[in-house]
Amino acid sequence: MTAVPVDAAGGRRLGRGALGVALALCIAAAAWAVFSTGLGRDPRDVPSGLVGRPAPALRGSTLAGGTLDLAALRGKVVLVNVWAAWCGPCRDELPLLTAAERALGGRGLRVVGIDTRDGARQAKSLLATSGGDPTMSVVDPVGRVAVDWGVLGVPETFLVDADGVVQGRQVGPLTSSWIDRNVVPLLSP
Amino acid sequence: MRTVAAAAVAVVLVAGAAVGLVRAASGGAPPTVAQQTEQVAAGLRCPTCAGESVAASRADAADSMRAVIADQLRAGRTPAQVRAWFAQRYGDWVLLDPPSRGPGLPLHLLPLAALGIGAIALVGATRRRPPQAGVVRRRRVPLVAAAVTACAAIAVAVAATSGAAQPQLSSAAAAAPADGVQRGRQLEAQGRLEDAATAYRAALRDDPADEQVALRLGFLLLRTQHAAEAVDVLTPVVARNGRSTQALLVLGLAQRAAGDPAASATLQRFLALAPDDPAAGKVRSLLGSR
Repeated sequence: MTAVPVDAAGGRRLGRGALGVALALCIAAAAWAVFSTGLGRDPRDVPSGLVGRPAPALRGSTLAGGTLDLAALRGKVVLVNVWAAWCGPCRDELPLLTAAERALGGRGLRVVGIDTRDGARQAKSLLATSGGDPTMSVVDPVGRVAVDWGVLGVPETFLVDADGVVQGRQVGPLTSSWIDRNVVPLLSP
Repeated sequence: MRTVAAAAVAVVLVAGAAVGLVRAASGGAPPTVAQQTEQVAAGLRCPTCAGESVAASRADAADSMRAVIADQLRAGRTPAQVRAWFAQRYGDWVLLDPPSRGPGLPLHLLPLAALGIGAIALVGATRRRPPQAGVVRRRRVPLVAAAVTACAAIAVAVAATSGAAQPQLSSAAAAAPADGVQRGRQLEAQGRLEDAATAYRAALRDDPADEQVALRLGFLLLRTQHAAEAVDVLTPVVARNGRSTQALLVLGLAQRAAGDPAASATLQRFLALAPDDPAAGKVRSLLGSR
């Protein structure tokens, strides 16, 4: 049995050490890549599973006591707004929605509300003061409708085109530039 | 001798792992809808508190999601179908276990790759021993084999039991008090009384037996001129605990404000139980003025 030459063993050790360093560098680079892109992202920027698919059914009693069926609005471009009177940003957003419907209603825009986990009395009094239409908001006392739409939080708004397909979603309050960018191109001229 | 001992250890470990697996797999009775709901909810991310599962979260949204899970299971859908339904509505983001496709695939392959690399490194390390250590090498191989078997057995056992352990953890979390009371108090302090009432109502819906929440809500409703609803909230509290002087006081005042003739009897009961209450003098003068 002959002894292993010293320099050969040393070379192997050196090779292994270099391999280890390279591996550690690779792992560090991968971790840096993941964290530098991941930490800069908006945690609410979660893609909806609904965009590009037919909108879920939305049929139920409204704040005014009647019933509303989203399917009956086929042919119109619909903003489905999930809101509640207890939600401050929703209250702030209401005037923009009513103004948008007033300005763009003639070109086929409708606004439908899902009043989720809310007190009917508070919701109705809010709509009364802000000029919202209680016949266009479906009540969702236990939040099942909101789950059906994959809602992350309130306010949240879905854009449903004339064929009933979801074309966009906004988590958080709408802005007039979002409406200009996403809603207006779908409307008839 | 050592070889025999190492082999015995390996056999015992493998047998233990097998017994553990069999016990973990045979659940006995088929799971109830509540158990299945818990299981599905434990695998879904709560949209409001993204770091929590739907089973652990006390957020309203998680509450609604649990209700929808239970509905769908009762309608005959399998847990896998329910999970797929949620993934379709919320996107894959909602699944706490990332699916084994797309960007999630490396996460599933990584442990296997690590195991493979470790095995190769281990074999290399044992083979490259200097030849004069041949005797030692013969002894080490079974030891290494036993160690690898033990690691694999532990990994398999942990993987098999972690699924069963999760619902227990989350049901412990489910017993934690609701945060609706806290939120209601903050809103009340900010003067947002209607919002505070909504928060208390939600907390009461979570736990209808919570007397403190019912009292706060009742008192708030009384102050905001919703006496009739305050009567509805406090009547069950008094029915459950007829000696709660605060409940009697607020109920009596609410009944009085709502024009309920039972008001004076309720307030008399309050006075009989708490003649020295700071509010007693006021109540006496109210009763006397009638």
